[in-house]
Amino acid sequence: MIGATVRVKGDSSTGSITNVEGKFTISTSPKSVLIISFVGMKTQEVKASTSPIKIVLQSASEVLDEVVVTGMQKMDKRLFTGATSKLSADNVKMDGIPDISRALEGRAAGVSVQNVSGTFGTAPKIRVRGATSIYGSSKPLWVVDGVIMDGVADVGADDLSSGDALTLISSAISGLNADDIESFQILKDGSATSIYGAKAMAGVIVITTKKGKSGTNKISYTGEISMRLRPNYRDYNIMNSQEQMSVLRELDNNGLLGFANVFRASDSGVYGKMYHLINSYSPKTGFGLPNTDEARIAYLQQAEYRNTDWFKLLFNNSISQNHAISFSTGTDKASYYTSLSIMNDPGWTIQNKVQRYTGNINALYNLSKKVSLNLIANSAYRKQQAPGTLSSRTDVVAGTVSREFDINPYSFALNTSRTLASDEFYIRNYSPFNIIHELENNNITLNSIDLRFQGELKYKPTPKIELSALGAYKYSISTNTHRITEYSNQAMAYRAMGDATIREYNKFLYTDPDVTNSLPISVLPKGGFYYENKYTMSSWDFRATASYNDAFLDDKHIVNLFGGIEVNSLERLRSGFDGVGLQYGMGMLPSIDYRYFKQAAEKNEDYFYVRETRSRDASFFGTATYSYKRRYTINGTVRYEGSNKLGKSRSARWLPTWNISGAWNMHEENWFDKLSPALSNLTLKASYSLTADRGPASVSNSSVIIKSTNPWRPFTSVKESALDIDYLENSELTYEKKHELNIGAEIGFLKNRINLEIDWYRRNNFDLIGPINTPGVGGVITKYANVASMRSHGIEFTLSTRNIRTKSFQWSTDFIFSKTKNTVTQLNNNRSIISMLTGSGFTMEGYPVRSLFSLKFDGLNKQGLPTVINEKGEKTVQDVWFQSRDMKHLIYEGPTDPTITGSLANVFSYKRFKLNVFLTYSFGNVIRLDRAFSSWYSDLDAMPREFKNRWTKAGDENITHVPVIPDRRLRSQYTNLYRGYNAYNLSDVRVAKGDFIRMKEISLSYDFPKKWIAPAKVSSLSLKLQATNLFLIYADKKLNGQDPEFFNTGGVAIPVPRQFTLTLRVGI
Amino acid sequence: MFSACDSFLDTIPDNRAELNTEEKITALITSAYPNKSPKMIMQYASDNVLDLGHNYSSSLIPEEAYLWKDITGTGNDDPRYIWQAHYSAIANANQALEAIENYPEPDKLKAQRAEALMCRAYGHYVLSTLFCKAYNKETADKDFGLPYASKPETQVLVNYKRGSMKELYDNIHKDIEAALPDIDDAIYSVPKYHFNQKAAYAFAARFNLFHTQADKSNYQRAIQYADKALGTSPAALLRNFEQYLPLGAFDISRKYVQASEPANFFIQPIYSTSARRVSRYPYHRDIMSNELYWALGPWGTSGSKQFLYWARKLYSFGEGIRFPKADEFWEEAGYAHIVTVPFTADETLLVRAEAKVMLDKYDEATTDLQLWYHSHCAPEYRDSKGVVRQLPELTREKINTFFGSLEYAPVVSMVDGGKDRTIKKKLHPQGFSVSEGEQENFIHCILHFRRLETLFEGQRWIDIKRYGIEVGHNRKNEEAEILKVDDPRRAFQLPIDVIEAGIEANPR
Repeated sequence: MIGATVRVKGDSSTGSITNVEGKFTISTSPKSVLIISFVGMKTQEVKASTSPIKIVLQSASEVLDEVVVTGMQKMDKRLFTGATSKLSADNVKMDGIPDISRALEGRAAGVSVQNVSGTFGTAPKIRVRGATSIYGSSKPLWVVDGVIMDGVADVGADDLSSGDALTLISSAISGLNADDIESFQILKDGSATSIYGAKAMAGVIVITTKKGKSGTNKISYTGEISMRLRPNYRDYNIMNSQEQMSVLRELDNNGLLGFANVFRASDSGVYGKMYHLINSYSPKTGFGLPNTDEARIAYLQQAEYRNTDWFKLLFNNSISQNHAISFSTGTDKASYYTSLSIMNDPGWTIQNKVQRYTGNINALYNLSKKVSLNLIANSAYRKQQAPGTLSSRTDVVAGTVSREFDINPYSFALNTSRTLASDEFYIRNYSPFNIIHELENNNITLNSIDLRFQGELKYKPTPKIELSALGAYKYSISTNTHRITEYSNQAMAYRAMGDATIREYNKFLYTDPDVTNSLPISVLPKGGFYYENKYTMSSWDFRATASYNDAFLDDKHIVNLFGGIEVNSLERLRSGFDGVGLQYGMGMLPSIDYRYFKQAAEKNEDYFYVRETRSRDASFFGTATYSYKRRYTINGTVRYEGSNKLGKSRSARWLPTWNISGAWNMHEENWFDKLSPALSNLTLKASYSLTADRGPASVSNSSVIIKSTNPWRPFTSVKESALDIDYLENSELTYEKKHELNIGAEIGFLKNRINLEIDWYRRNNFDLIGPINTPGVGGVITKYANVASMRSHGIEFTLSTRNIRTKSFQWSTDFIFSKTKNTVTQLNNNRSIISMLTGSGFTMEGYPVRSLFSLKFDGLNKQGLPTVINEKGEKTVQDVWFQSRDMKHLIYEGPTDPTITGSLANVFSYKRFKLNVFLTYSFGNVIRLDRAFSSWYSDLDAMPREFKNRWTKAGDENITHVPVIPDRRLRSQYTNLYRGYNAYNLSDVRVAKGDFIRMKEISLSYDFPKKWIAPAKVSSLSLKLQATNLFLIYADKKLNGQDPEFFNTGGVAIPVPRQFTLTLRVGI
Repeated sequence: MFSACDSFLDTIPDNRAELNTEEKITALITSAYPNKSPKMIMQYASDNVLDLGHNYSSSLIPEEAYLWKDITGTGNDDPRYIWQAHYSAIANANQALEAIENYPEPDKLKAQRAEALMCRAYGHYVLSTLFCKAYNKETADKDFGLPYASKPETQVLVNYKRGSMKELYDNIHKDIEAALPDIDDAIYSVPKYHFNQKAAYAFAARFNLFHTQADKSNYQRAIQYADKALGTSPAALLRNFEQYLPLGAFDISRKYVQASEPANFFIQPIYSTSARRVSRYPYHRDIMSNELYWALGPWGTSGSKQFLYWARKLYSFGEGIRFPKADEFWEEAGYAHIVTVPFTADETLLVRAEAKVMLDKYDEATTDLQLWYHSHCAPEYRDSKGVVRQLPELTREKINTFFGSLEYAPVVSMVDGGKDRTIKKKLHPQGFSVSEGEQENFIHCILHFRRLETLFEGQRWIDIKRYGIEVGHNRKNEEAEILKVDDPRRAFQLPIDVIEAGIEANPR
């Protein structure tokens, strides 16, 4: 424990303070008695001794953690003036959730964690005190054992919810074994993060991994077995097959499912199958289905009662396992911690599997009393499987986001008619399609390796001075292989040309412009695809620091000085190719048609690519703390940072950041005793700081960016490569910056039985990257420059109470609350309305940084068609121009990031049992509902039950908002009806509140008594049963079972499941 | 320590190129060609289309262009994209010019310098055809020009002045003159997509034809440059229309834009939806029959089986009719890919003919017009009665009698079916004069040939401006919209973002 006061009883002139390692020396008579005191601890008296003595202080009550780990230095918490939360991994670790970043949900005030996808490797959207940038990612900095962790790919905040394959590698810390973690320290305000200066605008999360402790010898084993529940149609509002069939019959009666429409349709289900059977004849079995009314009715009746449970077919209740074993040992001379872990997840869906292996060594060797060496090596390998997916695209004209060949099992189950049989093939993209077969033949394998090696040498010439040098090297590689076999629907779509009509309409066929009178042909006559994308990152860090700690004049004055330099280098390489024509069934033999490449060349598509980025940072930093009698503390930090991203000119490249802060520990005042015991602890803090960040990765035009490009040319014979200015030079480019004022208090009541930590802050973000319109004469009208700004403020508190403390029964409660509100104060929004209406929305001046807007729904018209108010302010069915930039007629719905987040944790322990009930909550955001409505439905689609209330006859428009299913007449009358229905999907009736209260965790654990286990040479044994993500206590009814945190964007995104985990912990 | 850090921080953050070799500088100029064009706006502003009324649909840009309103519609063809694409092409040229200046041996890059100057001139020229009034030497020092971008922009916000039309055209002229001697086809791997010799001279000829001078020296230069482009046997360069007769629309459209076609001097791939059907404002039969391919011309009346080759390969296009010379290749992510041919032998020949007429060289002009006439018309055809009809000869006299006796078309067609339309419209030349009689007759002939030659390309709008032709745009059940000679709307309004950023707007 650092900073404990050591005095000699009866001698006020002699004293000492424990250092960072908790050690002290004092010169006094061996007979004297030492008084050791520390706030929150019981003061102890010990007899002095000439040999080293070990003193363990007893906690006076439940106290606050005594050390703040900034990743650069450890500080006595009483001297720390910033806003921070420390979490011990034991308390927050959520068993059965291998990605530890998810465990932070609701655990620290001011930190919001949104599980936008539950797929392993996908980072949750983490915000420390909300967004800090408009275009930048606002992602907090992860620091593990003093080293900044960067992801193998740079995935922006809005892309986290895209469902694209890249999200699988968006988490920078997915290679960390949760059992290796000792603690988290979350640095929130500018004062706490200022030592990271121009990197830390969005907060810092410092992870400390476990180390061997001197005097221990321990083997620990943790085994987790988890079972997830399948999603269930009960929870969703999807039509069963009877209901669905009645809608299909209506479509049929309206002439929409007749033979002519369906037989050659690109997508068809039960009706299409029926027509194909009627139309098929084999000499052996005759017609697939007789062309009689009876046969048809019988066939459709079969479908009517099928009630296929896609969730049951596509999801497993399988058991996932995680085993971790660690050795920890230590003496005064050296200590070691070693661990291995194996995680095996056979998959919640039939095509999601993960295996992860991690190994970790942390060795500390005291070469002498003055020199110590700490070596850490960390490795992780991951193999993961996911459904095949292409990246999604936004069609700005129609207002839709689409993903070709999407086979995401979750969205498939929600969107596919339950009239279909699971073992039949139906038609998608003019080709046979069966989801189970497709998942087998179209999937992604990810192989990923993360390595980290680091060493730190410390030298202490005197007890007051410490010099340290830290070096680290990190390497990550992730190979993402998308296999699409020749049997998959995706490959067959490239050769579907059953008849002239299909040949004309199949967009995956190719018409050769160089051959006169040619018909569309397939460029993939044989085989499938093999897409590979590879991401590598290698980086090194070096840091040298010096610190000086001293207390003098009877400890009245305490001085801490710390300073150093840091250099980082990071290189990323991204490459990939489209393997075409691979014949999986023929021993992986490629069969290449040159016309595939001809078409690609004509369409200007590269069949392989290589992209490199390099970042270099250098910085100098120093911080000084002075405390008078521990009552009054002031602190100042300066960091001077340079980056290669901001140009060659020194003025732009180097940025000083700083902080000034102070704390007043009132409980150290003499008069404070009078308030005791009602008030046992009271600290007030204030800080003001400037921190920064480099802004979005895409803006790096401190010098002109000239990229190579292949300009589009209509024929391969006239192709040539070119260079092109990608971004004009912006000689004025600089960092995004933030001023922050933080005022906080820590109050302990009743001997700290009740603790309240409260912080209020106001932030002013300026020089943010935003668009600005220029005359355009330089070549670009809208430039991205440091022209935007925003403000935010918030309040957050943690209230911890020890409600009951008896010998056998204890009950404690933690209530965490944070509220943050941001407003963009300066921004020239040049977006089209479509970006305001979809996904996480966007923003404009006076609104939060991610705001969702809607078109105003203006009722159904007399034909049952939905009307909205378009960009011109007119009521319309289909005349909506989604690319318009006129925002006047949009309705503001709210932010898409929650404004209030927090949790309520209750821990009850009775003797050896411990019951943990943990609720999280989140309020203030809005969600766009799934796009359920369309101008055209095929017999593949599942419909929500809302369709039962749809408009069916004149006059219904007065009683319902659910539009008609358009018949042929309506569709020919309104040629852009698809746009009208998308407008309805993007209207204010299709928005729900994102508020929820979630039963995040209930767990019961039992520690076996020592006397039972001692004979087996086991020192500790515990068993824990945990239910995670059990249910939502409150959520908007409009969501119909949809998880408010989850973005159902298809691809590889799946929600966080309900799960039960059994954990066994053994210590030997 | 700082200097050590500074060199560490000089690492380039990504694979951006540095312009330190001849190859890279050459490659940059390949991007000095705009990938957008004002052709969509110009087509619907011209007299080639008409309004079918509310029952037909139109997107915003054609509608606003038809009514000569400020364009607020957005897409590939909006003024903002056009402005940006051209200035961005110019920026690449300027970046290359700067690199050439800093290159150790700039003389090795003379041909590249010439290409970059040509591109810079061309970008400004195209913008002027949309956003400025026609060049009028009487008012050029007062008419609004456009900022002439002559060096790379390195700051976020730079203030520019529009300058006068005279300054703008003098700058273009200066760049063209500096470039012409050094244009060298040897540096191009795909010459037809660059300012090759022929393309450069064709542009120089057209620019000089428009850049009228009091001493008529511009016409001399136009003829001289057209001579260079067309060479000694222009007939060999003119488009052979026979080749399209056996083909369908798809194949014609692909063949029309081939680099191997001798008539194609300069080919430009662009993003534009201009090849799409606009049901409400089509190239309608009424205009086709009375002013375009099927109209009465020196070859007589025309029809689907008659002399004019175009008329034989027309395709219906909703309510309109098209010759498939600029069809869309495909659209991806909102970008409609098409290919245009801004400079052809056929058009350059008409430029030369016009310059000759302005210098009163009627016999020489007749020779050029005859060349054009014979390459665009079949020598004979068999009419519906089986009679073989021979193409009448085009002579100086024929031009005079035919165009001299033709009625002027009314500004607004008042007769159902457009029967009162003709191919002769009243001329109000901007800053120059056309004398009544022979000169005017020849100009009518040339303007009509140009109108047919550049149909679907928007070029007619430029001629309407140069000759101050009044246009009446019919409106179904509403009063026609009329564009007067001195109508300020002849210069389309600048993009609103640009105006807001401080560039003076066109007067309204």
